[in-house]
Amino acid sequence: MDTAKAIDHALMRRVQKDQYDAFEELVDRYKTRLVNVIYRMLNDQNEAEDLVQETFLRVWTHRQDYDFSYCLSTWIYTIALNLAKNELRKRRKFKFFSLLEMSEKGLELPDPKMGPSALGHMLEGAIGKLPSKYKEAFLLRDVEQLPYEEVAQILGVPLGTVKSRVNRARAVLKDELKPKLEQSRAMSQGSLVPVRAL
Amino acid sequence: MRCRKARWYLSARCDGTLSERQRRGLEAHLDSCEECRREGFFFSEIGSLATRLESHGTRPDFNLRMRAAIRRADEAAARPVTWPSRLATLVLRPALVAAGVVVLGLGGLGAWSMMRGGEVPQAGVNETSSAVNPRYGLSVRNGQLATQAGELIPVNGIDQETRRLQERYLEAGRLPRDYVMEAVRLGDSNNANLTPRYVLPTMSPDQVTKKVSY
Repeated sequence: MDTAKAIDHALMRRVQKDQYDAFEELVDRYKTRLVNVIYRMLNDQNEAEDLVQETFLRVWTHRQDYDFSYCLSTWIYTIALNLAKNELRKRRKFKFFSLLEMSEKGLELPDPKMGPSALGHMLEGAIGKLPSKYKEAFLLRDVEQLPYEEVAQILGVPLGTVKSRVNRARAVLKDELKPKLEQSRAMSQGSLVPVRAL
Repeated sequence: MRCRKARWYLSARCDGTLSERQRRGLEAHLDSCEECRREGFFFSEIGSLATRLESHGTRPDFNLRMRAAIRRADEAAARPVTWPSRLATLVLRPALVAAGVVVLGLGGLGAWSMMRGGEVPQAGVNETSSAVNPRYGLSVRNGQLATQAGELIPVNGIDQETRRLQERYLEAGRLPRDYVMEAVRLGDSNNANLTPRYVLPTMSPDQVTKKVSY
């Protein structure tokens, strides 16, 4: 058993004995990771925080049901992603959209600099445009660095399907960012050949 | 190795899941293919950028709000279940659900009936001795219309009254049960062995007559 899993299980045993300080430690271990994933799924910081809070609330409420044969992270990510998917389903149904989000998008301008942060910003935008089944696989595997097996458990799909979705997501992102990446590559190689203007 | 296979391996190379043989084959291909080398650079850049994305984090009061939510949940769980709320759970809620199902079922049946063009329910016409039209004292016996005295009902063309009935149906958006009966009642006595089954809402009076006459 790896260290992270051992720590999680030790904390969860204490949580099952109603030790709230252990639960808070657990919250601190996972809250940022969960907010990042859910924020990228929903593109709404407040909603992401609310759903993460709801996730932890469910962990606390059902703490006695936790099965120690699974990773705690698998359980927590599964709850969080299910809540996020429900929220997305609701949004599709009622066609909610945020005016603030729209105005922010309207003001978004391409960064003229070619630094890694600009590329990261573009990657965020490209991830936002991915279909959700590719997005969740990519976020869990490449952003959160979870093993494929765990991603497959969280998403409830076969391992091969996860690999295929991650591969597809990477290919789409690569195509989306290709012009910027070309520039980045030319700069990293010190090329004197002028790159195509974007 | 062909470029197509190499491109598939490039993604797997990011995960470090290639076998030694696959890795050597890919490296050999990359040495000779500038296009795939560039693709490989893009894949590794995407992977590297993904691990360095900006963290969004939580607001400083997240843990406080979390604690408050947990306290509320614990209090709610500890609260004893009162009789009114138990009654609501055991009786009212199932009753509401059942009522909802009935309403939905009736609505669905109505919609289905409308979609099928206001078809007259076949059972109403063909059931033995159960489909009595109180207005004309009609009944159906073994698929045939008859008066209460047992006389078989004749059929003929459509007259003004039947047209009016059809208009009434069109206005109401549904087919009255006695529409066929009316059409039948207004006929002649040449066709005694009729078996009226249905009348479609889009039928002209002539078509109705023909259909009913079969």
